[in-house]
Formats: sequence, C-alpha cells, structure tokens
Amino acid sequence: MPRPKKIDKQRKEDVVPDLRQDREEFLRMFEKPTQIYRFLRARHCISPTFLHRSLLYMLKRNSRTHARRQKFKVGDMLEACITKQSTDKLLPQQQYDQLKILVLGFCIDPGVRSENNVGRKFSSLETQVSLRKTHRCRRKDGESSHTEELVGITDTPINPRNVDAYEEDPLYLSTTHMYQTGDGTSVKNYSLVFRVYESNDNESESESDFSDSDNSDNWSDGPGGRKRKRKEDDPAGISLKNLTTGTRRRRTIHDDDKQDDDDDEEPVNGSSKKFKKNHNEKSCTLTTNAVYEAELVMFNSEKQLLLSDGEYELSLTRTKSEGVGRKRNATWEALDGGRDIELLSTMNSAPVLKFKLCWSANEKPGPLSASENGDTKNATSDEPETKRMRRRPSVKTNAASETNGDTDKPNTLPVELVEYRKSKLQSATFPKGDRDEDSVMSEDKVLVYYQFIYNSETQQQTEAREDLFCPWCQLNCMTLYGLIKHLKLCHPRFNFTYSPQQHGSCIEVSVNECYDGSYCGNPQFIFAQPGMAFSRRGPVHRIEVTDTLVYRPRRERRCANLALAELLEKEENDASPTAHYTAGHHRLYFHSRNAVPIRPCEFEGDSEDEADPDWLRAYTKRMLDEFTDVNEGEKPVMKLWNLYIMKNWWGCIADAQLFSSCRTFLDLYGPLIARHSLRNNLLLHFVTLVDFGVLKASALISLMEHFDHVASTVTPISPKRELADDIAQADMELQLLPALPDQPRAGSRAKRVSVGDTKMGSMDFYEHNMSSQVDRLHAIINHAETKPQSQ
Amino acid sequence: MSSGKKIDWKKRVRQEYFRLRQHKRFQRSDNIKHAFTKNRGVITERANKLNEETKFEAQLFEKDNSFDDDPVTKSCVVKSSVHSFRDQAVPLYTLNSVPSLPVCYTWVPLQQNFMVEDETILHNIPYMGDEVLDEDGAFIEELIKNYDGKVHGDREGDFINDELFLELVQGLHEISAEKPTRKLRSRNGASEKGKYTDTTDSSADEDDTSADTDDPPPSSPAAESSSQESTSFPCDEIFTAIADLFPDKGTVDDLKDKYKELTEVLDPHTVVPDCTPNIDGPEAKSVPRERALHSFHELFCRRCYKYDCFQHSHTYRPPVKANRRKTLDVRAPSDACKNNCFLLLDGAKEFNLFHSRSSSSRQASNRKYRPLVVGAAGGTTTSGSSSGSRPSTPTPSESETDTTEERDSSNLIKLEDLPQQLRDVEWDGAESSLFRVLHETFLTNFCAISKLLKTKTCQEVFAFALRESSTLNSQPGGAGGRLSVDPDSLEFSPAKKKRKHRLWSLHARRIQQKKDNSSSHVYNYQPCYHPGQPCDNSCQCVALGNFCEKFCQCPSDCHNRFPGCRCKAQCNTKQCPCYLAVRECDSDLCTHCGADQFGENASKCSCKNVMIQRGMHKHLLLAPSDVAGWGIYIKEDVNGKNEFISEYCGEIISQDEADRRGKVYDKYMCSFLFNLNNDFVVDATRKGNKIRFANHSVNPNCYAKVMMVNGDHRIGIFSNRPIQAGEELFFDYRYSQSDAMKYVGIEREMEAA
Repeated sequence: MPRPKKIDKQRKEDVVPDLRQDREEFLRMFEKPTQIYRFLRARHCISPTFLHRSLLYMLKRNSRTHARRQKFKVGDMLEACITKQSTDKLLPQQQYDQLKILVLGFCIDPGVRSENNVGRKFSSLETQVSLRKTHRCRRKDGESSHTEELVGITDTPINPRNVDAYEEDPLYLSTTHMYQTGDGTSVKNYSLVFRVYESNDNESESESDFSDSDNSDNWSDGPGGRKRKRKEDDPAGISLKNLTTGTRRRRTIHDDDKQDDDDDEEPVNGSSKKFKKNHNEKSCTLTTNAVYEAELVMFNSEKQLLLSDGEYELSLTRTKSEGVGRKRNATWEALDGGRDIELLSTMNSAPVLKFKLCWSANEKPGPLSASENGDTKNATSDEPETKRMRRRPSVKTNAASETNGDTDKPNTLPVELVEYRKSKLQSATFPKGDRDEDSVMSEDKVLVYYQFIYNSETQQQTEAREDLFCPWCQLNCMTLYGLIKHLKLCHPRFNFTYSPQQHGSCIEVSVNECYDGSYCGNPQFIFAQPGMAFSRRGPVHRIEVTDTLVYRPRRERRCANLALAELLEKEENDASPTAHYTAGHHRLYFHSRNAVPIRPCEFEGDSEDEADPDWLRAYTKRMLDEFTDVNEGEKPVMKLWNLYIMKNWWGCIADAQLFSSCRTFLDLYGPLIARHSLRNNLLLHFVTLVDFGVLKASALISLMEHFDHVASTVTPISPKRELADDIAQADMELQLLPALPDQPRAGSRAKRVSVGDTKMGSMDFYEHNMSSQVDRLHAIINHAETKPQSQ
Repeated sequence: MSSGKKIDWKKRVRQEYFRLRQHKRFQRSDNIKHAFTKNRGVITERANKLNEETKFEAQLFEKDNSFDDDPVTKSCVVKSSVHSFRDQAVPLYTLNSVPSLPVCYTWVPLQQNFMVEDETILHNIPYMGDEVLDEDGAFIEELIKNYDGKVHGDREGDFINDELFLELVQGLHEISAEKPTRKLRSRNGASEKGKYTDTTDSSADEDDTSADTDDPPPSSPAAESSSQESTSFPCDEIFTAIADLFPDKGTVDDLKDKYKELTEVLDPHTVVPDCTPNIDGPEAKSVPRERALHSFHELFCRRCYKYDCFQHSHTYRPPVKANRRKTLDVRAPSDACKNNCFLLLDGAKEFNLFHSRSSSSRQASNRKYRPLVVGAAGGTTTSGSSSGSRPSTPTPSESETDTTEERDSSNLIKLEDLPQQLRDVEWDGAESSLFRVLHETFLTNFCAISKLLKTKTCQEVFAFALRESSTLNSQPGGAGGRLSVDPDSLEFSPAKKKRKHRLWSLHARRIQQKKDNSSSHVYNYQPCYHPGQPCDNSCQCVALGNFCEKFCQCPSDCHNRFPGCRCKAQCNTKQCPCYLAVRECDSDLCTHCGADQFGENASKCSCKNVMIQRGMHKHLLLAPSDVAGWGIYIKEDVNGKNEFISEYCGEIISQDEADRRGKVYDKYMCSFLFNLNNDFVVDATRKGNKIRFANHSVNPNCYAKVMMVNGDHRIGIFSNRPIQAGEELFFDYRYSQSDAMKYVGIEREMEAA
C-alpha cells in the first residue's frame, strides 16, 4: 500500500478518511483470499501434494534432465550404492579427525513475526560454537554435568541472499580425542552448542528504524544508504507483503506510526503498548546475551558418530530469559500431516541456523548422502535436539543456485529458505495509472506490475515487483510464463489478466466472483471414512477421478515455447472445453439401493446386477407355497426350478438352451432331489417341459439318465429333513456358486458377472450396514454443518 | 325371554368379536416384534460373517474409529479456573463438509418386468407435505373417488375376514356349548339342526345367568369341550347374531356354508379335492395323466420357463400345446434293449409294428386319432391329446386301409398271452400314474418307459400297457382328438422349403406395410389358441396386428408367424426384418445371425439385436444429477449410435391402473410411468432398475424404444450418439413409440418456460 500512504503523507489532512476507506475496501477484497493462499502455501511446504518442478510450465525449476532415464537400469542404483559403500569403507569415519563447521546464515522465517525484529535490528549476528561434553556422574547415575569448550565465534549473516557468496572462515573442531574411549569414560556424549549473539554494531539503529518504517509513512525519510540499496533491489508492494505475511497490521498504523508489528496483533491498544514496552526493554538487554541457542549431539554415549557431511538447518530456541511471554508466533497452525505437526512447525516458526558440516576438506555430497542423512536422523530421533534439525539435501541447493544463475539474477534468494524481503518502490515513481516513469528501473530486470482492481472495477492499486516470485506462494516461477500460469492455475480465487507493457508486464488482479470455493478434489475423500482417504497405513484402492480427460490444446503449434501469447488470448479461451469435459468425471457415485457412496474397491463390480434379488426369491417361494392344491412333492421341484431359472436366466432365453440348462439344474439340485426322493416329481417336471414343446422326448431320457447318475451317489435320508430348510440352504449355496460357464455374455460382460458375484458379499454387507452408515453420514453432515465455513 | 336372548347373543357376539380383535392385535404386534428381533439377528450374523471374510481387505468399513489420520487444525483447550485442575486439551479435527443428497424414495431392484394386478383399493393416502394436505383436500377426495371410495383399512370397525369369522363362531360355540355338553352327548351327537336349536335354546337360558357373572369364558374347559364335540355344529343363533352385526357378509345361510367350508379346509386329514397326492409320497394314487400333470401344466409358463411366473401368470395362457410332434422324437425300439426285453416276447414286435404303422398311417390320411391309452377317467376330452410320432417311422405304407388295420389288430397279442408272472406284477399308484404320463410321450417304446420308471422292466411295462389297453377297449369311444393339422413329412421336402422362402419375402413386405400403417398402436401380444382354425381375422394375433409367436397354438407354418431373419450381419439396420419390425432376434428363429449361440459360443453371435433378452446392459452409476435430483451416469464409453444401454424395467400395470397412479405421481411431480403398449404401462416407481433415474432432456443422448422380445414388449434405452464414460444419461421422455411417456413434472415446467 505504498501509494495511498504516500499521498497520505503529502496531503495528510484532508485525504486521510478517504484513504482509510480505500484501504478498507482493498483489504476487504483481497485479504481473505490472500490469507487462504498463504495458508495453503504453508501447507504445501509441509506436505506437498505435488511438486512444482514436475509441472509443465515450471520446467525451469526442474534442474534434472531426463537424459539418464533413457538408459536407466535398476542395477545402476545397486552399483552406485556398492561403490559408495566401498569408498566409505576405504575412508572410514575415524579418519576424519577434524570437523569443519561453516555457519552459513541465520534465517528468520518471514511468517514468524516475533523474531522479525531481530532480523531488522541486526544485519549480522555472532554465532558461537562450542563443544559441550556431558559427563557421567559416578555417584549419581541419573545426573550428569556439562563442560563446554569454545570452538569459535563467527559472524553470521541474517537471511543471507546467496549462500555461496557468503564464504566465511570455517571453524575447525578436532575430534580426535573424542574417539579415544579410554580416557573418555566419564564423558557421556559430545554435542555441539550453537549460540547466536547479537553483534552490537551501529547499523542496528537504522535497522530498527527500517523495521518500523515498513509500515510507517516516514520510512523514506530515514533509511541509511545501505537500506536504500536494499529497497531498490527488491521492489515489491508493501500491500502485498502485508497481505502475504498474513497479519493485520493496518489497524493501528495511524494510531502510532512507530508501532511495532507485533503490537498490531493486539486488538486493544493498551495491551499493545505494553508489548511495545516489552520489546524495547528486550532490545536493550539483547545486546549482550545470547539470544538463541541450540544443541546438536555429535557423539552419543555409544560413541557413535551422529553427524555426517552436509548442510544442516537447526532451529534455535530462545534462551530462557527472553523466551518468556513470547509465544505469540503468528504462524498458521493448521498444518496437515498429522502427528508430526509440532516438529514441522518448529522448523517454520523458530529461527533457523544454517551451517555446513564437513569432515573432509573437499566433500562433495552425492545423491546418496541424502538417504544417509535420513538414517542418521532416524537414529537420533529420540534426541530432543535433533527434532528441530532438518537436513537440506545439498542437491537441492545446488539446483537452486544453478537456476538462479539462469535468471541472471545473482541476488536471487534460495527459494524456500528465506522470506523474500519485500520493500517497496517509491510510490512517487509510479503515480496512479501512469507507468511511464519507471526510469528508476534498470532495463534488464524483469518488472511485473500487479494491478489490483477492486471496488467493482472502479479502483486499482498498482504494485511492482522485479522478480518472478509468486506474491502469495513465494515461489520462484523462473519465467514470466510460468508465473502467470501458476497464478492462474493455483490461485483461482483471483482473476489474472496478463498484458505486456513497455518495460515489463502487467498483471491485472481482481477477485474472482465466480469462485464458489466448492470442493473440486476427489469426491471420495469427502465421504471416505476417517483414515481411509489419506491413510498412511498401507495402499488403498482409489478411483482415479481425472484420468478420462486428456485435453491437449494445440500448444505446440501456436505457442511453441510456452510463449506468453497463449496467455494473451484469454478472452477467447474463456469457454475452454476443459470445464465441460471434466464435468462428468469428478463425481462420487452411490449405490442405487441405499445411496451409500460406492467405495473404490467396489467400483468395478455392478452390485445391482443380480437378476434374482432376495425379495424376488422369497416371493416366488411364497407364491408357490400359497397354492393349496399343489402337493408337497410338486412344490419343492417347482421352487428349485424357479430359483434356478431366476439365477441363471441367461441360460433360459430360448427353447434350444433348455436342455443344457436342465443338465446344469440336475448337477446343482440332483443330489437334493434324490435325497428327498422326488424323482417322480422331477420326471413329471421334465414331461411338462416336453408337453410344452420346449424339450425333446429323447432329451428327457438322457436327462433322467443323468439324474440317476447324479443320484446314485446319494442315499435318500430316512428321517426327512425339513425340506424347506434344505431348499433355503440350496438357495444360499446357489448364490455362493461361481458364475456358470455358459453365460451368453462374452468378454467384459462375463467378467463383470463374476466380479459381481464375488462382490456380492460386500454388497450385502452394505445393505446390512446401511443403518450404521447412514448414522455415520449423519454425524459427519451434522459436524460439517456446525463447523463454520472455513473458506 | 326370546328378545332378551337375542340381545344377549348380539352382545356376546360383539364382546367376543372385540376380544378376538384385541387378541389379534396383540398377537400381531408380538409377531412383528419377534420378526424384528429375528431380522436383527440375521443381519448381525451375516454382517459378522462378512466381516470375517473381508477382514483382510484393505478397505474395511469400521476399521478405525479414531481420527488419527485426520488433519489436526487446532488444539482446543478448556481452561479450568481452579488451579489444581489441569487444562483439558484435545486436538480439533475438522471433517469435510458433506453435501446433502437429493431425496431418494425407496424402490426395489428388478432386472425384469414384473406384472402386478390392479389395486382396487387405495392402500395409502399419499403424503405430500402438510401444505398440500391442507389446501388441497379436493385432491384426496378425487383420489378416493378413483378407487370407488375403497380405502385400505377404512372400515376398521366392522372388518371381518375368514379367519376371524371362524374363530368368532368357534369361540361363541364354546360358550354356548359350555354347559349343555353333557346333554348333547347324551342325545345323538349328530348335526341335526332342529335338535340343535332346541338344545342351544335351553342352554342359552343357563348361559344368561352365567354370562352375567363371568364375561370372559373360561378357556380351559372350553377347549376341552370343543375337542370333545368336534362333530357338533354351532347353533343358528350365533350365525343370526353375526349376520346382524355384519350385514355385508351375507345371510345366515351364507355364513353357515362358509363356516362349513372353512372347517373342512382346516381339517388336515381331508385332502383338498383337487389336489393330487404327492406322486413320490406314500399316498400316491393311480390317477390319469391329466391329473398327474395338472399342477405342472397349470402353473408352467411356456414363455418364462418358470412356474407361476410373475409376468404372465395374470394374463391368459393357452393350455398345454397339443401338438408336440416336434419334440416327440423317440422312435419305437427295433432292437431288444437287453436279454429280457419285451420285444423278445411273442407277438410284441408285431404289436409294436402295428402301432407305429397305425400312427403313421393316421397321419398320412389325416384322420382322427384314437390314442392307444387315454386316461379312462374324465377330463380326456378337454385335453385332446393327439400324439404323433416322428415321421421317420420305419414303414409308412400308403396302401394300408382300415380293414388291414383292423385285421392286424385282431391278430395282436393279448394280455392273456403273456406269462403269468408278468401279469401278476403289482403296480402301485405312482407307477401306474407315471406310466400313463410317459406312455403318451413315448408311445410304445416300453424300453424307454421302463428306463424312466426304473422300477419295472420293459416286459412288465408291456404287460401293463396291454392291461390298460384292454380296459380301455372295453370302453366305447376314445377321446375326440382334434385335427392333427399338418403332416410333418411335408416340412422336410424341398418343395416346402421353397415355399417357405417365398413366404419369407412376403413377410418382409408385410412388415414394411404394417410399420407404415399403424406404428402408434401397439397391442400386447397374447398367444392365440383357436384349434382347427387357421390364423385369419378371427385370430387375436391378426386382429391386434401382432405376429404369431412360437407360443401360439397355431401350426408353425402359419402365415402370420414371424419367420425370423436371415441376416448374416449384426441385425442393426433396417435390412434386418427383425430390426424393421422392432423386434429382437428370436433365438429359435434367427439362426443365421448367431442369435442361437449361447454360452461359450456367444462370441459367434454377430447379432446385435439380442441385447435386451440377454441383459447385456451397460454398467450404470448413480449420482446426484447435474440437472435435477438424481441422475444416472454411464461407466464405460459408448462408441456409437443405437447401442443398447439398459432396459427400462418396472412393474407392468394396466392402463387404468396407470391412470390412477399417475394422478398421484403428477401431484408428486415425479413419474416413472412409461407406456408399453395399448394395454400396459411400465411403472418404475416401486420396482425398477437404475435407468429409472435417467432424466429428461430435449437434447438427449439416449432414446427409448419398445421392442418385442420373445413375445413381450420391453423398453430398451439406446444411445443417440457416442457417449463418453461418465456422462449423464438423458432421454426424451415424450418421444417413445407411442409418444406416451409422462415425463417428469420438473422438466415439464422447464419446457414451458
């Protein structure tokens, strides 16, 4: 919000209420979606649902080529491992007796505002590295004493831009004596202790000034030369920053220009003043004390080396004196990923000290080091300190630095490490609607203007950035094309309209009124039982929801190299067919009988396929039972036949089929009929078929021969069992039988029948669990309704 | 005295009636409770069983009740103001919001049409929300008027059925007989009515006093007494009282008759007169063929191959097809089956030869046939069992005349010629019944009969046959068979074939004409049965414009029969006469297109015109519609036009019934009625299959077509264009064969708008 403020500064008296209203308007439009995207970004950092580098428009982010994939063999992995192991053996760890510690920087997450002031106050800090030995107390086993040896003190930059550029003198630690177990019996373990002190240089004054000036109007008056330079380096809209940092600092700005960021969070002014006082006090005391501290175990009590080569990020905690009352980290706590939440959030909320450990002079971490790191981490996971430790695979950093080189911007920050430090351009440089005077900007730099249009397209605010970071995600999109693609695809709550400008590009941002926030993910996940959709316990069957559509716009021809021209044509692409085509495929289907969602594992079978549902079987039995003038010998034969026909209706479409059907009938029910000695009735049944002309008399003879053959193994039971029970049982058996081979359906149809048969169990299961299911659904629905709509 | 008695009886009747009714009600609720618990047990049992089976499946239902895997959004803490208590903290889990589903009324799955009878009484007054009920009482009134004011359970007060009537009479009878039992027994316990009234009169006197004191009759002595005098008949007073109370149940005499009837039925030992005893049971009786097969013949549906089928049992079914020549392919045995075959007996061969010759000569001369053995008892005339043997009988000699026949028969073997041990063989009821049944099918092939009987040798069977025929011969006049219409031999001559071909081309033309003339009036097919008459204008098939089907009783060369197609392709163009006639290929008629291939040979079937009968529907999926309510979606791609999607199944109801139901459905603005033909309507409201959820659209991707499938009209839903997997299915409700589907109200409004 630089410009209004600037105007405010110039004509303070009359415009103030207007501006305020204007800003309110602006915030009302953009604040909520921005916060949402900020949250999503945080979530994405913790548990990514996809990798940006695998997106087509983010090709640049993918540093790897797929050249090696062509000739990749699985054996190569093994070989690589073996060579790695062999080299490891050649160079056993004991050989390193010197640990090089290279402190790279002290990073404060932009989201963590309580720590921000430190970053603003001091350009660099001192890091003291010391070795802590934990001694075993002979007398009391439970207790232990510590001794510390100072390894060294080094200057540490805050939020360094370029890691490689900051090549400092490393600290060396000799570890030879640690291996000597003989004298070290009293020493339980060794750990490295990192303490970060503030260095008391003069610039801190101006720094603090700057930190306040972020929000105040008079920042342009106060900056020192260095600050100035920074500002020019990073021209970005303050409004964006304010929004993207996810806090509301606007409220009290006009009340107190000097107000610290933290205080604005407090709704009551009185309390905010108190905190301000606190803050001032603290900044006085901080000058001498260690501000942050962290410990990293090097050797555990078993003398195992826990640290290996690589870059480390170590989250620091405040030393106790300052830690009191400073719990108001304005981070988003809503992180998915379940139980590891605390561990993950510490990496985000707490400041991070980055350093490099190196056992040999010229270490070159290979791809395997990452996995090794993983092992190390697992081994030490019970240590409380290492909980806050995160190893950064050096590959990634390399890639980042490499891509940085591509963009011709040596000053680009490593992407996820440091918050993009935003400063703003002088609003004077960009008066409203007039973008010609960007003389300040150097021509070779990318300049992206974001024009926020609001208040029903009557007002706009313009902000410029000179990089290709997504203002909401802090994601380096590397190319303008990628940036706009990213904006359009990942931030659907806004409309982005791209238009090229003389000295850069302009992106109009407006709130997408059509965005209804409706869920558009896999519908299964909504209905899935807890733990089903995101189960980490093992593989689960899922329905692919978007696979049916492969929409390939003619990208190759019209815009060969992911050109921006594609984005310009937005108007005509508006009715893009994607929406239409995907409409049918993002759907949750239900069982037609009870409206219970079809689970993925049941998706293939047509559970409603059976031609003889329970009720129909019961019905036909009942109907025959109701006849009074049909005797007790005829009924069972008729029932069995009916049940059989209903089950195998496809075997009885034509007269010609009937003979084979009768044979199968005998195979199935012959024993039962013989057991109850109903042979004569069966014969009458077949004679009836002959009488009706659907069976040949010769077939009758062979059928009865077949029956006698089947029945020869069965002895009629003397005390007749309850016939009805037997029929019911036969009915059940018939259901459980596999589908008969002589189905008329070929191919998929036949398969489906068999699937349906095997799935029948689950279907029945559904039916019987319907009530409980419905109850649970109700519970979920109720819960959902009571829950306030979060988005 | 007399008036007081009468009042007392009325009172008693009423008392007893209400007592019984209350008892019934309790019993009913008890039954319901019992059934409910039983069902619960079944459900849990089956659920457990299925749980056992699916235990190892990854995706179980009630796998975990925790929310462990749900994203934690917040920690909820309840702080206690008392310091000694710890704060209660629990993670807050956010569940997804679940969209509500459209309303779905209960329905019953079905894969084939199901015919139901008209409902003559209104079973329930439909509930359509309070506002409708309040403001639109006229609708309900009209509805009730449609059913002639008959509402289910309406006259609850004076409702009485057979069971209740019986119990009422018996209960009253016990009361009346309570005291005078001794008297009754001392007299003759006969059912003389005059005496009865006397005794009951006197006993009623005593009852007067006793009834006042103890109203509910003591049950135990009553039961005793009832068992003692099972022969006695209740007094008239009871019936008069009941007749007074329930005037609509008829006069006193009606009630008496009814009571007699009911008591007779109740007696377990008296067999229903019509019922043939179980042929496998010990009480099997020797009955004529018709009686032995009566149940089977009456209940078998030739079209469904089922007994008492759902679809055709309410419609007319012709009697057993008399002309079974096609299936009787068992020839008389020429060689002895084993060492003691009946053929080895003296004169048996001649006998055999004679009969086979006589039958063939009979066919040749088109004369009336007198079967060898017809059930001696009545009922033979109706059946008209003219059986024939296959034309391939060995020596059909044209020259034979009646005289030779008679001369031969005079020389034939007589029962007396047989050895004694054969004649004396005992035949029980089942065997003799079965013999009669089989003899008509297998004629003189006693070897085959014996094989099927299993208990008798063919010599014994032969002897029995002779015995039967001798008893038959003694009776004058055989059964009057009817004309055996066509000689089979012609069917296989080349001349016949040519004729048939001509016939076929004639047919193709006629189909075309028929289609042009009246496609909008399609009548339900019923097999025709007019013995001795060719299918002319009097035949109902011809009159209604239907083809004769294989279920008709007319000869197979009837000119009105549909001959089937001779396509070698897929039968999905109008080149195919079946397709042109809006019929599916008949598996028994169309053999060239492969419609007769089943089972493993199904791949040989190139015909695409058999989808409905074979149920080769597509996999459909149910989900909330994009348009309104529920919708149906297709799971797989449909590649072209005119592909079969699914059959529209439901209850088959008459047009009148459809009008009545439609009134209600229109009110609901939701109708699943689909005109099948001029006589019947398919209603998928209560029973149906998934396609019932397809919505209406003016720009549909499917269309409906009523096709004749094996004599039944069935509704097929076909694709209008290629359909992608996952698309919702629509068809135009208005467009069908006879433009008659009453489409859903919502769309109707949309149309108007």
